This record gives sequence, C-alpha cells and structure tokens, in this order.
Amino acid sequence: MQRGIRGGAASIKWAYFTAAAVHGYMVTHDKDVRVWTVTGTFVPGLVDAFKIAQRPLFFVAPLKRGAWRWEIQTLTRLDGGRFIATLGPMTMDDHNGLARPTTRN
Amino acid sequence: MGSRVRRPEIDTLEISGGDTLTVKRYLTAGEFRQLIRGAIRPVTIDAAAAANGHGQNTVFEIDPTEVGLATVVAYLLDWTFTDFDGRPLVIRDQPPAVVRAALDAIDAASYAEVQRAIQSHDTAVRGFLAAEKKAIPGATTPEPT
Repeated sequence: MQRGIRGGAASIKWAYFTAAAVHGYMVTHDKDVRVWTVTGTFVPGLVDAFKIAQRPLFFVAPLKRGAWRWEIQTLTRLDGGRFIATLGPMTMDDHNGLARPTTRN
Repeated sequence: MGSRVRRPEIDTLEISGGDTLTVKRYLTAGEFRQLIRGAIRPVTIDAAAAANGHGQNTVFEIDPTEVGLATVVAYLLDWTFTDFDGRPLVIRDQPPAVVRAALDAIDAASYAEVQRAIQSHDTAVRGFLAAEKKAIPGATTPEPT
C-alpha cells in the first residue's frame, strides 16, 4: 500500500548546507517493500553544483514545529529541473535540534 | 597536496545561563565573501563628482556596526534561546533575514555575549588556519598589518 506526503517548500541538505532548494514535492511510502521515494522540482538558481554532488544528502521537509528528514540513497535529476530520489527511514527533527525515528517506517 | 575543501563541521559554544550556540567550525570562500558583503555599505561622494565632472562616485566602506553582526550570521547555525513563554526561538535552517531578525529581538546584553563568543571562535579558527598553513611547504602567508 502506498501513502503520500505532498508539500511546497523543502530542501536537500549536505550537513548544514542547503545543497538545493525544492519547491513542490511528493513523498510516497510503499509499506509493503518499506521504500520511501520523493519526486520534486528544484528552485531554479538554488542548486549548488558542488554540494549536491556530496554525500550524505538529506531531504528535509519543514513542519510547523520541526521537520521530517530522510537520508537520500539515490538521486536522479530529470528534465525540467525535476528530480526523483529514493530515501532511507524517516526521522523527525524537533526545534531543539533533536532527530528521532518515527513509527511511520 | 591535501584537500582544499573542508568537511562541514560544527562546534558548540557554551555561554552564560547554560545556553549554547551551535556554530560552523570554518567558513567557505563563499561564506567569507557573504560576510564581507554584509559588512560593507555604499557611500556616495559628491565632492569627487564636483572634482571630475563625471557625476557621483560610489565607494564602499566597512560599516563597523555591521561587521560583528555579519560575522555572527556567517557562523551561527542554532542556539538554545527561548522566548518569554519558553518556546524555542527558531533560527535553525532559517534564511539569514530570519536569523538577523531573531538577533535583533534578543536583549542587547545577550547579543553582545553572542557576538563576543562567535568573534572569539573566529579568532581561534583563524589562528588555527594560520598555524596550519605555516606547516605547508611553499605556502604563502599574508604579511601582518
């Protein structure tokens, strides 16, 4: 069974750097095979060619109080500034900078 | 030859009241340029215009009131500060304008403490980098001014 999270602003992080700003994304979770996938669109001019080539990268989707965060396992750039990435397990950042696993995995 | 790129690392600076600041250990070249940009202001000199007849001249000068703030914004990633209701003052992953607004909102003594801590960190890092460079054969070091 697949579930989805759709959102507007997000980012791809390398450590504390923003490697790319994202506007418009869809995260899907296939519970049967336990795989998270995200598709989205980069903000033009806000993709750092050096930082996006580094590893590990994280896909970070902000929430009202914190953020969802996944480690990116594979990242493929598509035409039109779009991308698709497979993700590791989701963690949740709170505003105290703590990351904790969620039960959504 | 060694790498000219440093891994992004963080340091935690302890300040009064049990609060901490999370800062970048080093700045990249781009962050250093951003720091400089944040600390200069354009100044239009009319006297030069009168002298050469080519209209106004604009030069840039360091704004001493902005140097400290630009250094703080360049290094600061997070802190443990809260508002009067105990809710975190969120600066982590926020754009520089939001960080500057939060720095403007804290009381003056706290800001001074943050700036002192980060400037001490900056001084220590520059000292470390200078010592490291001296150890590299053939490296050029700037003359002290």
